[in-house]
Amino acid sequence: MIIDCHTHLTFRKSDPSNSELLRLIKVMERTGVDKVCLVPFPEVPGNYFFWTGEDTISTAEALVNVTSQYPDKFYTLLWLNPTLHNSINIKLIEKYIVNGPLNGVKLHIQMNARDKRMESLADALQAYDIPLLFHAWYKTVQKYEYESDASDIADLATRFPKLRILMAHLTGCGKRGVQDIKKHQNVLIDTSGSQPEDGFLEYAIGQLGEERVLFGSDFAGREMATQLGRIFSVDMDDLVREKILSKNAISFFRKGGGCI
Amino acid sequence: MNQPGKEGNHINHIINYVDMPLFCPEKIIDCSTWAGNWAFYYLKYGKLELLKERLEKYNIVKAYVSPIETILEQEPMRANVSLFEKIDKINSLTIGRHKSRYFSPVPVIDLSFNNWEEIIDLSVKRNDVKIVKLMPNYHMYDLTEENLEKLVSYTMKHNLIISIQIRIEDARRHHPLMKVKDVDIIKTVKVLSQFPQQKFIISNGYLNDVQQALYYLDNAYADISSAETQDVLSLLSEKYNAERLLFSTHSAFYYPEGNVFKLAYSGLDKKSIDKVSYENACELGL
Repeated sequence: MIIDCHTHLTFRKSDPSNSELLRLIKVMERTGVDKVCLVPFPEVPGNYFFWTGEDTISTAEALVNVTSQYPDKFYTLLWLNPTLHNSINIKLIEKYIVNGPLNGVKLHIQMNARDKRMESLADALQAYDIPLLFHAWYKTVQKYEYESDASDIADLATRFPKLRILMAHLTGCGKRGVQDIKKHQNVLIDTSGSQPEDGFLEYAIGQLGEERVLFGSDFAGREMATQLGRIFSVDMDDLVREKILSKNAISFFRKGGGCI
Repeated sequence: MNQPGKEGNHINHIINYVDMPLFCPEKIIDCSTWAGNWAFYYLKYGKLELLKERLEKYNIVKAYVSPIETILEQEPMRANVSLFEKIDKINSLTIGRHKSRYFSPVPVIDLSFNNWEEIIDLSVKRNDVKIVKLMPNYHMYDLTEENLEKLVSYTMKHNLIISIQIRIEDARRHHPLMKVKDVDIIKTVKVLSQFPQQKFIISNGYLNDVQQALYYLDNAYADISSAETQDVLSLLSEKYNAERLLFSTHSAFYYPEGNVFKLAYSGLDKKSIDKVSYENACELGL
């Protein structure tokens, strides 16, 4: 079984038949990927980095439909904007994840992981034992103002040691990023990010262990097949490959039974 | 295309795991690879022998290779000559097996350095140099009609293709002490358009670079090594047809599986896959 833990698409109001979703399913079938973790971009006019609670609800409702239509094909993440008031985000978490079908939360670049305002959201995720996919990248150029790097994720992990974090973009975070999170057992890493550069997967497995590395493609900006090739670019035991391709994801995307 | 499994245990192993047919082309020509050492991180397959072994797993029957040290050394002659020698050695050991030389050298020319003609002369004396490569960003000069004109007079005379290397690695991941801008594709297209008789390869371009080149230039080919988006090969084939797409892994910087999988799972028909995997390269004389 193959699970891609980092896949994007946009639900567009102008596309009620969800043609992007159907294209994604075709790509999955062609590539042999059985299940993906869907992280939809909210469709917003103007500055896409700062969407409203209504935008989040609209995307969440689309995800609810997807999970009912394809119950075995997708994990689904609620992409939250942490600059919104925490009461809004926590209500959304309770409605769509704790009491709904979605699996977890995605955070991107709206607020850095070190920001103290993040704490009540992190607190809730930790208490509910909800998986969190958090974007991270060490960038020499083109860095966004509030974008987190791996040291920021490590800082969050220190303050919330039971918060289950999947740090995105192994190739973006690089070897420095792997070392940043190494001692934080609550942080896993996905293999996505950048071009099909050699050497990083082998390093991550060696440093973090096979239990903490998950296959992710960052589709549709990236080609799913190209990114899948990364998992076959390293010699490893089939049992190890199975963990990276599916077992670790199955374990990570479970929802806990915690409560606040 | 072969139903892989016949070709070797490695592909067979992937098929068994993915549980999907991997229609690995039976023959691939890799138009851009690199051998040597990179200053910023260790390349496990940077040695020619290891690179060859890795590429052969995927039916790559021939590879065009450039010396990595030419990127940063003060002048590229030493590394070009060193690669020539290494290629001669490895080819002499394997020539019987492949019926032809496995590696063809792609010397790097620095147009800002006054000995670049010597490198062309050395290359021409060999019968296996088909491409020369330019890296205006790392070698810190602008590609202009003036400096390209002289090179083109040589390359046209000797039937050489010119590769323009747009980048080596994602600029976001450059070492902070060494930020190198990508080669500007718009300026490049403008200059190349002045030489319609000369064949060019746009190497390691992102999707936008590839599209600009294929749209504006009839005499440019593009390698697929860094072109990525959903169904990228179908997109490029539909918009510009597959005639000017060339397979490349950009190994040893990239793992070859990335571009082998890109092609094998592209959904293109066999005819188009054959074009990208080797026919277009053969048409170019590679």
